[in-house]
Amino acid sequence: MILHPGILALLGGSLLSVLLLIKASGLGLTILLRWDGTSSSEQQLALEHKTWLISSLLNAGLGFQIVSGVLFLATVEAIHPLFVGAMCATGTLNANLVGWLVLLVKGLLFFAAALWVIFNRLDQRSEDAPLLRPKYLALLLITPLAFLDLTLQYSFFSGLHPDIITSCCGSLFSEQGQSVLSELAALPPVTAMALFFPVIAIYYVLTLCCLRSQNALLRYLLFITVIVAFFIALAAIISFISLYLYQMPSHHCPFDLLQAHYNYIGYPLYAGLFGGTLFGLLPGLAAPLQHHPSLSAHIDQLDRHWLWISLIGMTVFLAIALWPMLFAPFTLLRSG
Amino acid sequence: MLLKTEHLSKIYNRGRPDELTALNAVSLEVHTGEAIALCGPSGSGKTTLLSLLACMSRPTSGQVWFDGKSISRLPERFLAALRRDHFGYIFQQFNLIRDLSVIDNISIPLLPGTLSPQQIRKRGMSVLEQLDLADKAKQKACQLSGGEQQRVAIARALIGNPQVIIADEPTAHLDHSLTNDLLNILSALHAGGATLLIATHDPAIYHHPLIQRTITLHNGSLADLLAP
Amino acid sequence: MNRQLKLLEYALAGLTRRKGKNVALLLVYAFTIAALGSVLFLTDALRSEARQTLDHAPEMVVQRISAGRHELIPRSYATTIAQLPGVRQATPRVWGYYYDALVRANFTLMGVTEPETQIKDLQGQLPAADNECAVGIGIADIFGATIGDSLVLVDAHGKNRVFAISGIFSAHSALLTHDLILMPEPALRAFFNLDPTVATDIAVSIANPREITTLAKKVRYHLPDTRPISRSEILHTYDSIFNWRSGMMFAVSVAALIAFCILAWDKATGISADEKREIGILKAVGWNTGDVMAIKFWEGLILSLSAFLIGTIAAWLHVFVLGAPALTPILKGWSVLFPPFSLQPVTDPYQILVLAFLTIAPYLACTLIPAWKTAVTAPEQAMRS
Repeated sequence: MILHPGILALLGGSLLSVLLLIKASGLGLTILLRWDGTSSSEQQLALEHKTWLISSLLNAGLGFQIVSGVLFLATVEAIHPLFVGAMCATGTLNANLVGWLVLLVKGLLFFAAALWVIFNRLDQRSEDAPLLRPKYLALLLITPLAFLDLTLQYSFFSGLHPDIITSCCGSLFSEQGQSVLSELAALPPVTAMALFFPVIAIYYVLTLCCLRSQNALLRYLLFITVIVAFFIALAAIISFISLYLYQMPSHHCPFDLLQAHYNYIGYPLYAGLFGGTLFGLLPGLAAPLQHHPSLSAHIDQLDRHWLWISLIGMTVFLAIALWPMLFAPFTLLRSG
Repeated sequence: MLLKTEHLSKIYNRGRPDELTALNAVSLEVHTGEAIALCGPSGSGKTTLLSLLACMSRPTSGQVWFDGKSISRLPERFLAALRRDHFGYIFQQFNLIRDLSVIDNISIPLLPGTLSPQQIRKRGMSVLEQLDLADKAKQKACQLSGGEQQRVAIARALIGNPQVIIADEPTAHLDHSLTNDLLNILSALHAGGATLLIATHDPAIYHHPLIQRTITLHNGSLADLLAP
Repeated sequence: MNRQLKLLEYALAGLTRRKGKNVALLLVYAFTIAALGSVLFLTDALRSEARQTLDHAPEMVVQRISAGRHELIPRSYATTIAQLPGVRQATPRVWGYYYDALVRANFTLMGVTEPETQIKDLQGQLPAADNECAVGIGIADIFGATIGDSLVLVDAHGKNRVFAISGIFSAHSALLTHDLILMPEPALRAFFNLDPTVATDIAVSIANPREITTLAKKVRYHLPDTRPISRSEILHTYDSIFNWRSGMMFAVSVAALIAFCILAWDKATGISADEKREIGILKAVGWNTGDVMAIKFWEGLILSLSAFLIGTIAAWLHVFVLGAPALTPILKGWSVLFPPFSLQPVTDPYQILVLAFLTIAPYLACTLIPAWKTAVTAPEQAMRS
């Protein structure tokens, strides 16, 4: 275990958000058991008051999750000099396998919390709160995820021994490696591009169609496309986008983008991708809720907002990714 | 019909030794543009009835209808929006925030709404002008005289252009001349089309020509319905 | 968005209206942040200082180990190491610690082989003759000596030796040279009574840093009784020590933070009758619980950010302008001649992020539940008071 301030901050923050979520799911459970929309008892009023607390606990939890995601990557980057052979964040994450798992859980937790907050807002717009039960059931699932995040993080950091010799970016992402990420790097840029550009094109076509049509099927297609596009985009960042951004033919690290040295370009890049993905999921998720009469008008109204936000997010991502390909002197693929 | 209640009851601390039935099966109707005085001794349930009619609390049983819509089971955020958009309140104590300026005090109801700060300010100033308070806009509420505070409280009730103005013992802390001022303002509002609901046991009010109807409460029940 | 701005403005006005309560809270909060911030800034500055210093160190140092004890190394080992492919140069070094009973301090004595080389940060010259030496600023200060003065040291035979000071290292390189005395290698050998065939250790310069680990293995293979230490290993050790030190001090400061959070909780719970009345009015005239919670959140955020700004600036001034007077006693333990801090004012965005996360998040979390408790005040309260 390393007594590093960043690690203490992360563990403390995770502990705090677990506590907030435990409190929230405790309240959620009471609501699930006792809620009676037709009653006007004082108990029902107290339950209604509790929904406010849950919303704001979850909002806080989502905020923590976003900041702690950034802090996690920054910390992993900051402690890499403790590991012989680690040249960037990847080296630290590779020091024990839990590192990648933490990142995965953090990503999941972000999407889960964000979706919860958004659907909670939607539900609160209606007078009869039709999503009340699914909402608080989902909350009971998010809490264990946050707990998993805390324990994984703890076991990752406590399993870090500064003398472990780890591979650095160069060897992790080298073509000979066996781990998952080296597979991604082994994805030749041409293949990655052949996947990336079509899926992005499909995304744009679908989003524009959704903006013109109310068809639910289009929204389900968009939902699937966005998920596929998200993972292909991550693969593409490692495979070729990072190469263009770094202007180096073999530097695949997806985290160095977040460094001051690269003008923190990774933040808008990932924010665009995550935001575009999140809001691209929403129309598909909300479409089956159209049958609730109290929600349908709100969904129609929000649907357009979501599509536009998604479109803006993806465009920001794409613009940053494409900029060096189009305008920088570095070329990866020779013409011909 | 603007407001209607059906067998409206409110019981506090239900099931506990200190259980209190504040209101018992009250059914009444209020028409648009009416001016009604709500009379009865203290403890008869006037304030409880007003708070139910004004969307501030929910009945234990029975229904409240506003503009044809049942509001007794609405979630809190919708009740708050109704209060903000359709009701204006004048409290027994003026209930101003002492160290806020007059204009800030009367802007409070509109802050959570959709109007821009400029629009709120403009509306606030026009209400203050209407009540001869425009020159006091920047002063703190606690620096004003009792009569001025009363008018600020009215201005705050008016800023949202309410359909219904609800006043709870508005003259309890006023002397004779201020009571007259208040009644003049209320008459003007009524002439402008507002519905008035005034809880009072001040004869100066319920004998005023402005009042078209008096409802008397006794121990939480309607004593009678008197037409003037 | 518009709505939030209006609520933010209201919250700001609310904070200024309740000045007394909030200023006290702000000061305690800022003080806690300043304490945590000082620890972070100081250790970070020390760490980067150490890193800069080590930039000039050899890529690898080879020591001889005999039964686990550090032993003098035969000079012939340098030839063996120099022949390994990838090694640019292997230089035997002679150095040792010296305890001066007069001033009760440890010095580091080191031999120089090439007196012609120019060294940055040195006033005067490197020692050329056997009775000359160059000293660090700490030693010059402790004896009150300047260039040309003499320094008397007791050698291995118990005899007093007089050295003329030919140069003094400037304060700029203090962390490395503070307690250093340089003299020509033959003179140092005579002083320590060392055999000419041995040295203290061997400094190895390696062309390609990626080969350090491989070369370390090779050195161990050819010379099994040696211990190669790479520069990055020293760096890790430094980093670990600094992390550990800052972690310790951090733990103490975190206790202060927790104490503050309890205070914040208490303050947030114990709202005045006036405030409660105000919230009743807000609710009555059309605010909902969420609106009230929003202004409470904004109040908390404004307070946190102001405290953070004040606390961070205070910490920065404390560490980089005043030289961290409140923290040096804790760090000083390990050396009598502790190098004075001429810390480079570095501010790493990462440190700011850590500090912000550590101090703002708990405060906001602590005020969440009390804020909710006040926010659910029934609107009809306003009619009954």
